[in-house]
Order: sequence, then C-alpha cells, then structure tokens
Amino acid sequence: MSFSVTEPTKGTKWFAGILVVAYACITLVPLLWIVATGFKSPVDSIAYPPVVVFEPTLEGYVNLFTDRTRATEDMLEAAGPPTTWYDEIARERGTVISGPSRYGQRFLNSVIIGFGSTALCMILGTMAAYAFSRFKVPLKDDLLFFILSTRMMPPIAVAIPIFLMFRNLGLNDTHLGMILLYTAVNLSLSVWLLKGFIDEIPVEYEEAALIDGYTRFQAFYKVVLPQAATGIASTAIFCLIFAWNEYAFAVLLTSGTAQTAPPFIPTIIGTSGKDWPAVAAGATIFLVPVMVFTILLRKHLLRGITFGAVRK
Amino acid sequence: MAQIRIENVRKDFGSFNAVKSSTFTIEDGEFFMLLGPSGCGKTTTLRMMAGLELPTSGEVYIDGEEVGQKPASQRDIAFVFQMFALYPHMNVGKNISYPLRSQGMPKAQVKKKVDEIAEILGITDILNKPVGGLSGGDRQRVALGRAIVRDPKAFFMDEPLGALDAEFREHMSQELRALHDRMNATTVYVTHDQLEAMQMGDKIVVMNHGVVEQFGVPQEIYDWPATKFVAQFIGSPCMNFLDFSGSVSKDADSVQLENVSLDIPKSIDGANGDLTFGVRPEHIYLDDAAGYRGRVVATEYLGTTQIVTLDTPNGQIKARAASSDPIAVGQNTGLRFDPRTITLFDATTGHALRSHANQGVI
Repeated sequence: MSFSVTEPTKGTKWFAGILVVAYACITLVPLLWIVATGFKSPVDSIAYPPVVVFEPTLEGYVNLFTDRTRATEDMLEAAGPPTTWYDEIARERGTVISGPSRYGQRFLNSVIIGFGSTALCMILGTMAAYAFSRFKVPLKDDLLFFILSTRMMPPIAVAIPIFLMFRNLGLNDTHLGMILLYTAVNLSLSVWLLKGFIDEIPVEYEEAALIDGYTRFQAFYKVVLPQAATGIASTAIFCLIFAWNEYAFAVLLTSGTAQTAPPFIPTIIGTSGKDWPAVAAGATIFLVPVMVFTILLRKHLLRGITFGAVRK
Repeated sequence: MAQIRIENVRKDFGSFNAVKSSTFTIEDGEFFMLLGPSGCGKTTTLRMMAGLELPTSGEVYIDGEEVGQKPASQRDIAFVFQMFALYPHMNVGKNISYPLRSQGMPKAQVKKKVDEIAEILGITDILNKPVGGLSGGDRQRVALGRAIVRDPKAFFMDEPLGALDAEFREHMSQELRALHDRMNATTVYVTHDQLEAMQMGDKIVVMNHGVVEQFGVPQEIYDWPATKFVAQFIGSPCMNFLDFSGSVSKDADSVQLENVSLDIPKSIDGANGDLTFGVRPEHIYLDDAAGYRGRVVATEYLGTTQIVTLDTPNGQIKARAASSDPIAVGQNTGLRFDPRTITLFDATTGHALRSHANQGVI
C-alpha cells in the first residue's frame, strides 16, 4: 500500500469545511448563550422552554456595575425623575442606584494580576529558557526536570501550605502575592515551551551578531528575541489564560483588595436574588481581554518569520 | 589585513579532545584552506581563531596580538557561516549594514558603504528585499556583503559553498576567489572538499582527528603527502597503497615487492617491517614488459581518461589510463610505476619516509 500527498478534491474540501464549521458551532453555543443571557431580562433568562428571540435589555449590565436599594414610593418621589438611562432601568424594577458595584474594581484586579504575572513570567521564562538552551548549565537536565516536576501535581494540592506562607509573609489578598503565585505556577510551562522555541533558532544568528561587534546581551535582544516572537506570543497567551481563569487560589487567597473577577462573579448571584443576566454580563465582559490579547498576537502565532532564512 | 598564527592550540569538549596542539601560520593576504573530513577539528580550529570558541590552551595571534581569550566582537574579523545566518527579520540592506550600525557609523556613511558593497557583489536590485525569498546564491552574496562591508582584518568562512547546488558552487568559488584577490584580505576557509581546497587555496592545512597532518601549498600536498591519511584524502581516486613487508636502507633507491625490484626516489630514512608503497593512479603505466604483474578487474570510462582497477599481489589498485587504450577486464598485465613520484610510508605509524624527493616538504 502506498501513500501519496495529493491536492484535496473539492468534495474533501467541502467535507472538511462543514466539519470545522459544525465543530465551531458546537463550541460556540455555550458562549453565545452567555452573551445572549447578558442581554435578557431576568424573566427571559430563566424561561422554560428557553427563549431564543427576546427583547434585549441592558438591565443585566446595569445590575452588574451598580449597587441598588429597593425604594419605597416616598423615596422614589423624593428622588425626582430619573436623570440617566441606567437610573431609568433601575426605577422600572422599583430600585434606586446607590452607587457603583465592586465589579469594576475586581475586573481591574484581574487585569493587573493576569497581565502582571504574564509579563513577569515571560521575562523570567525567556531568560531562563535562553540560558538552558545556549549555555552549559551544571545539572542542566536535573534542573529542567525539577522545573517540570512543579507542574506534576495540581497546584491546588499545595493550597494550604501556600495559604499559611502567604499569611505569614503578609501576601494574603495582595496584588504582589497573586502575581508571584501565578508566575510560579506558570514558569515551568513557559521555560519549557520557550526553550523549545529557542532551541529551534540556529545559534549562528547570535554568533553572526557577536562577530558583527555586538555583545552577548545585545545579540540576545536584537537577534534572538525577534526570532522567538512567535514562541513568546503563544507562551504568553497560555500563561495569561491560566492566570486569568484561575479560580481556586483566588477564592482562597483573596477576599477584598486583590480579589479577581472569577471569585467575584458568583457572589453576584447571592446578593440580590438569582440575577442570571448580571452574572452572564460579568462573564461576557470577563472574556473580552483574553480575546483581544489573542487577536492582537494572532499574527505572531501564524507567521513563520524564520521561514526560508536558513537553508537546512 | 593581518597575519594569523596559532600556537599549540588545543580544545577539549568535556572529555572529548577536538583539537590537539595545532600550530601553523597564515600569512597576510593568503587564501588559506582548512581541509579534513567531518569531525576532524577544522571548524573548531576556525571558531577558535574567530573567538566563537575559546581554546583550552595555546595562543591565537592576529596581527601579532594575542587574542586567544578575547571575545569575537573585539577581534575585528568577519565570519561567513555555512547556513549564511542572515538575520531573517531584516532585509538585505539591513543585514549588510548590521556590522556598521554596531560601530555607530553615521547613517549617510552606512548607506554609501552598503551601496558600494552591493555594487561589487551585483545585488543592488535586491537591497530592499527580505532575505527569506532569496536564492541560495543571492543569500551567499548577502552573507559575503555583511562580511566585507567592515573591512575586517580577516575573513573566516565555514564551508560557505556547502549549502549551494553543485552547478552554482563552481561559479561561486570563482567569485569568492576573485573577491579575495580584489580585497587582498587574509581568508581562512574551512572545507571537506579536497577539490575545492586545491582549486582555491594558496595554502592548505589537512587535519584529521584533531591533528594537523600536513601544511603546505596544494601541489606539495598532492605530490608529497606526509601521511597515509593525506595521501588517501587528497586526489580522486586517491593514492594507491601496496602493502609489503621488507626493509629499506638509508640511501636505497629501490625496494623489493614480490621479488620484483621497484625504483624509488633515493631514501633518507631507513625502515624495517611493514611498509607501504604509495603511488598515484596517474603514475601507473600498463606495460607488459614490466615485471610487476596485475590483473584487470574493472574499468570506468571518464571521458578523456579511464580508471582501471587491478588486483595485485599487494592489494587492489586503481590506475589512470588514456581512454583510448584497449584494456580488457580479466587481462593480465605488467605494471610500471613512475619512480620519481613514489612515496614510502611506515605502515604502522602512517608517516611518510623521507626521501630526496619529498625532503623539505614533509
């Protein structure tokens, strides 16, 4: 039996296309459901059978970003007519807005901690990976295995010791603490992934730069880093997604100042009845940064920038 | 431009000894070939001269200055890599100007210099192209451009033609040689291709297992190999070896093989025991009158000449004969050797015995 590479026929192309579209639809349904629920009224959100066509409202988003109090007739009269569109939405439910909710703050925490740990992870990871890839490091294989081994158990298995350590070090509920924690968890992944990418870059590029009169460090950031951009971008996405979505440590180690969005979103359910549209709105907004980040780096993920520059 | 001298240079990688105590001098302006099979230490030697590897012991002098432990960036040399190593994220012009920009040369001057180099190499029209889509030859020219743009003290080239197609290699080797003559720069060139070495080099060092086997001009190395390795490595087909047991005394001018007396250049060294009689294929003549006999087992037609393989009492040999000579497989024939070109080797050490012919060369 022989195998050969042939151009796909029109039929196989269509078949593959339909398969991909079908798969995309299946994976996108829950996502679309969340986005849609964010624009439903509370009644529509729990309607059975579920409503697909509904009148969109921003109530969920208003509820997400504001704290409201149930108002009596007197209070409503005293407050006068609603001045803004979101006031109006709140009034329709017989409530008045008493101030902004904590979601914005929690979201900002997620951004600081997620991107902060990703940045730190990339800086440390790139340098470590470069050293492992290029230099003679004593006990290199053992060290690499040790780094990998930190990944071999679920991080949450060490939650209690970390909790105690954080308490003693005063890192509980701090941005710095969470950044360090997520960096520590992600570093093994980033070192291994990046080492793979840097190993692929021929060492001649750096040697050429050394000969051309550049120092080792200049060669690293002027020649190696641009070559490793693809690897750095994809590794950064992995790191960000982990840090961004992490729930267990966030619940355990943050409660106020440094609380991230994942542990906060479920608390919306409990504060004023089962407000599913607000939860869905929170989840939708929470998706945006990772999506934007991935789209921004997508060109690096796809572009083989070293293609053809070295003859193998 | 500079003279380069290496003295007792040695390089160990862990327990592996890549280069064992090499010493030789490359004169100013020479086109110098480091020749040897892969793994012989030639590239390591070159990289030590360039500063990409630091010698375990020994000294490297460039222009009289000891630079053995200096980093590459401070040696003012240029290196052309086998894989060219053009920076893939820069276009052709940027690649060529990169060494100049590291020195902080003003932009206008950089541009002038790059244009000048592009003119010499005939690549003016591709200066703004990315290096990714270039042909092998153009990449080679860009790599050369990056090397010569700085007027370095010396050029080091590590099998620069190895990545090119055979057809193009010929053309590029002429271009390289012409470029060298034009710049009159000291060039050290690593290759495993003996033809390339003979064709282009002013001088050749032949290395094997980290040891310098022989050092000299191409003709000397071809005619008077210092060791069996050199005799075998250079020439195609290589030198023939007839192994025999016997003795050669000082001042002898013949040896006994199978009771046939064969003339040799007057010997200086005397030796006893296992010896090897070395003769190049073109110095063997099929002559029925000769006492030493062989039987033809194969012929290969090569156009103007043919290679005749013969079985002899001392092993198989190859002779080069005119293709018009009628030679039949199975034929028994006498073999005459040109006595002026014979080299005797000590079969145990592999070293050539000194004679009045190779005196001063080995």
